[in-house]
Amino acid sequence: MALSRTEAQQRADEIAVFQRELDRLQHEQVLQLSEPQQQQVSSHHQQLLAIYRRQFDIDADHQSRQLSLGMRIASLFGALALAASVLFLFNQFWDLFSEPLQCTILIASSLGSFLLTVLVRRHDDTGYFSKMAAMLALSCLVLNTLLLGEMFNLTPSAHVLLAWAAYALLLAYYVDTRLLLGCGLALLMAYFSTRVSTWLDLYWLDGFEHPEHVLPAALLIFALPSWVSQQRYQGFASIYRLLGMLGLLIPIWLLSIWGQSSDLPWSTHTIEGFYRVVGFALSALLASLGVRRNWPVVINTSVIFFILFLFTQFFDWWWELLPAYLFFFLISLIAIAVLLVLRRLRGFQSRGQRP
Amino acid sequence: MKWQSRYFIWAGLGLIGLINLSSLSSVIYNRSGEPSSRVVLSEYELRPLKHSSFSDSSRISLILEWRTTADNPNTPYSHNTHMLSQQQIQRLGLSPKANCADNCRLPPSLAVFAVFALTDTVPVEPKKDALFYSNRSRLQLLDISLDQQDLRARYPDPQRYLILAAQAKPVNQYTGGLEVYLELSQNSINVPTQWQASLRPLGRCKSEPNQAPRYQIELSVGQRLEPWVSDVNVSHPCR
Repeated sequence: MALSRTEAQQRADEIAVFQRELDRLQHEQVLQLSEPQQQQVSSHHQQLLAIYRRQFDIDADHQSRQLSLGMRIASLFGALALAASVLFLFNQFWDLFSEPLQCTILIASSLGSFLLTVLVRRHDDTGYFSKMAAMLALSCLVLNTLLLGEMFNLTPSAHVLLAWAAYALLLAYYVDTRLLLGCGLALLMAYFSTRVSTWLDLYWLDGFEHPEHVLPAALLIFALPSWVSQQRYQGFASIYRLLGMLGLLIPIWLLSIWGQSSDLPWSTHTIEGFYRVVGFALSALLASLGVRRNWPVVINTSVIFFILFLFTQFFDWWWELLPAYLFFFLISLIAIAVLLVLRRLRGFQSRGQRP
Repeated sequence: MKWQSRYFIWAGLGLIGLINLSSLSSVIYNRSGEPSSRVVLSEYELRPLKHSSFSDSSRISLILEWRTTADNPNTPYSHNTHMLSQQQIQRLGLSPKANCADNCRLPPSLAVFAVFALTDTVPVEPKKDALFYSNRSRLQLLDISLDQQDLRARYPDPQRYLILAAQAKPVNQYTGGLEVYLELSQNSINVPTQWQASLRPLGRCKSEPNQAPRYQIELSVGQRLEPWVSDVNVSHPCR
């Protein structure tokens, strides 16, 4: 079965770990491989790594990993700069063209940037250049839609969010980039939030003033990688969970301080109290789920939100009653308590027990 | 994975095609047949707006300025966003909550249709100077409804009455009443390239009190109530 770049990188990492541990075991005289055995393992690994480097341009050691991070940052800046360049290019020469030519240029820029992405991906083993091209393609399509809307005074529509989301997700899977996946999922949540508003007989743009409308889509996005495997794409499952959690916990936090935006038929005070409880319970539940399933992103995000809910609650209770130094001292005590709980959880996990 | 790659390429091309096709077909549909309204407006109703979203250099778009009826004492939110009168609010079926001691949430916004017409006189308001009156928009909001057909039946002349899509948004609630503002769905109107050059010099001249409007624009509104500039006549360039 053909490997993906992610799987090749995983295997290379495992080879490096295995090699280090084997050296240690031999040094501690726990295990001794004969010379031919060592040579056989080593040449097999070297052969595999050479194939992976040739086919997928993987990071074979720590130094190349550091360089890869730098390349990733450079490609992100490059992509943003390229998108800005296209925007200003349009801006500079736009008035020189007639309307039919403007339309043609917009459509051609979308098609051209997409075909460029396809072309670059075929020849780019590293993936950095194809990610830049994919970012450019998304920017071109967004510009295409916005400028067509402006040229012909089109009424803004929620469906454009779905179109952008579909395109961002398609490009994300095509060139294997998490940034575009995040953009696509955020757009998808925004779109479904407007749909919920429409189903509730509200004006679609009002959906953004009702944080509850994001919750169903966020829940689906959080659960999706558990149903549809994302194993072939490195870090995609984490992005789904992260975006899903942000889509769940940010609206709940907003509702806990701004109950008027809720659809629930209760008093504002009751709604805010209800969402505070939900926020605490959900972040604790997600932290526990993260520990059980070994999802670091879920653990970290839920801990951050748990502290945020706690801080909001304490601010509400004590900010006006206590002097500032005492208030922040209490917050630091709470942070220490959270640290102790997490350390305990980590202890249970490393001993293979359930908390 | 060749077949997967091919699937992605076709899906991407299809998506780009679909997005552009749907945008352009809605333009074609909007501009097909007889326009639902076609009125000639002046500089006072269609003010140049220099900075459109994406062109910060010299591109001009227009902003439709209108005013409410003389009996509405509310001051405007901005040139193209005004408060509705209590009568208009009631006509839309919007009403404040009877008992809002604890839970004073506002009713939701409504997608509505508004009918405008040019009037000859501008109602006098205190504390405003001569320049304010002389150069003020003559386009007045006449009526508002949830039903476009109902408005068209009551205001059938497309050369005189301009029907546009808008949003009625409740912004405040007080004892026994609501404050609702009306905002047009289409805030700025693009000026096609062929008329950009004739309107651009006007941005450099200052508007004087009691000055005759320097340009007239024929504004058409289509089947989807999306407006477009169908003719421009510059009568007094920079003086």
